[in-house]
Amino acid sequence: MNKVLTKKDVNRAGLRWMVMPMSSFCYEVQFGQAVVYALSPALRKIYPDDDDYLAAINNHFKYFNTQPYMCQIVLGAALGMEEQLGREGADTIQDFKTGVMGPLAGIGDTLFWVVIPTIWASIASPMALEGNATGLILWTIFGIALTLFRLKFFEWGYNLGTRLITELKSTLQVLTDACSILGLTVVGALIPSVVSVTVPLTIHFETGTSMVVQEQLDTIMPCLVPVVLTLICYKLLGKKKVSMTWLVVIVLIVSIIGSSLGILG
Amino acid sequence: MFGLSALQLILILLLTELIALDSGGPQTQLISKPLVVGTMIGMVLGDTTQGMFIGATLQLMSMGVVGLGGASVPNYVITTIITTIVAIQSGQGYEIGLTIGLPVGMLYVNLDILHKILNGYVMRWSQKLANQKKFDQSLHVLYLHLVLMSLKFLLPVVIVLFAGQTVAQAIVDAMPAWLFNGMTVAGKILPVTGMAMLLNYMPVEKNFLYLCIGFVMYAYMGVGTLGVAIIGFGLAFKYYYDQTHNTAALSSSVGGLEDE
Repeated sequence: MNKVLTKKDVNRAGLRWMVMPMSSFCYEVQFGQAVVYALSPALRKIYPDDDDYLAAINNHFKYFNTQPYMCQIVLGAALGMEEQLGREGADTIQDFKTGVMGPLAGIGDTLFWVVIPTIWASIASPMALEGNATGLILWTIFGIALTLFRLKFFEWGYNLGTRLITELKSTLQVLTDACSILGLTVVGALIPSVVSVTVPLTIHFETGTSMVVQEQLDTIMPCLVPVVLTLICYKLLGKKKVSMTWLVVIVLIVSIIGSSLGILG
Repeated sequence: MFGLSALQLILILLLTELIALDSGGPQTQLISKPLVVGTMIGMVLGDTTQGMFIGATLQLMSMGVVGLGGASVPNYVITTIITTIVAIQSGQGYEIGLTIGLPVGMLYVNLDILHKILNGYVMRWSQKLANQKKFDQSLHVLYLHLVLMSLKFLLPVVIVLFAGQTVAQAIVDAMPAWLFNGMTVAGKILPVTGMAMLLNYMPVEKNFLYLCIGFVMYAYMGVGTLGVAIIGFGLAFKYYYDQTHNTAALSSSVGGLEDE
């Protein structure tokens, strides 16, 4: 086992990963370019020979995409493999990267893109609407802590190598499921809490009595309108393959028509 | 330029550039959030309270909207920048700002797709240089990505700020009551789109029970979102505990079959 990289080289690669993962995203190789940018100086040190270095770069110029925080762990481990296996390990490294992409994206997306931002937004935003910045300040402190914690991801991947990810992989599905349980419980509460649309319509009968529609709806179920609207949008996005942009356009049109007719308010 | 001073203009553009570099790079979740951006723009314009209010409104509106796996989605951070500026500088509230901010955030999707296509050309250029063994140049070419990313954020904001003042004013002046009311209602319904998107990413059918638990706790029992999150965490932990202990028992009896 040959050790050519110093701790500084490893950390440098980790920081370079954070420069352009989303900026360099393209449809062909997704994060491929950002991987090359991140690992290049370290790879150059491992492969002083031009041809070896070029082969290593071209190996990383391939399709790669998982949640960006999780990429740090994968790339750390990949760099460790480059150092230990050298050019003979090219296929192993590629297989490893593609093999862990899916499972790590599952847990990373659920935890870092869905659960954490959603819970924080649902706590901090209502506070902010009342002019209270506590949620915002807590968010900032939490964000700093998360970022500092993340800086270690690349080094972990490098030090523990494939062992870490293979061990993780067996519990990843369970962890992802657990996260989605938490996520769905919160979303269940969010639908009635963030969707505040009502039906302000009052129907006047010829007999002189009148009926407030929202009161009738409330006797069926609280927050019936938000639930029905969520269901419709869920079906449109999922089954009908309507894009997010078109869904927003549809909502705008429905809102304008609904409010002019006095049905929605 | 919406009556902005030179200093305010520079600060807004610097903030926009910072957001572009964060969204394209480390994605810290510290800056590129409507709530944070709205508050910061409000601070620059001297009305932090309204900025925070607009940021929070857009944060709720955009909750759940994430472009997973390279999907292009409307950019609510750009919407927040423009909505807050128009709302505070015109002094007419966020509905007016939203009529300009929301379309810009939606047009961002087209810029985003164009950007990701252009990135493909940059990649081929960089790889070509690498194959010619011009290694340093090959890496330098990649910095073009940062330029493109910055343009993707700065262009919409700059265009609205410089060219859009008369247009924006015309929209504000000509805005009929039905459009104003429609925007108010849209603000209340739009969170649905994010929720629907989240649900499409999650195993709803398998875990429908938990969706019901969260809903009933909030809508019928009046438990706040933090309370629901705590119960959700408990349920998630129980699931994880049960599963890992079952698999431990299973794998010890099955033995070496783990390696497929």
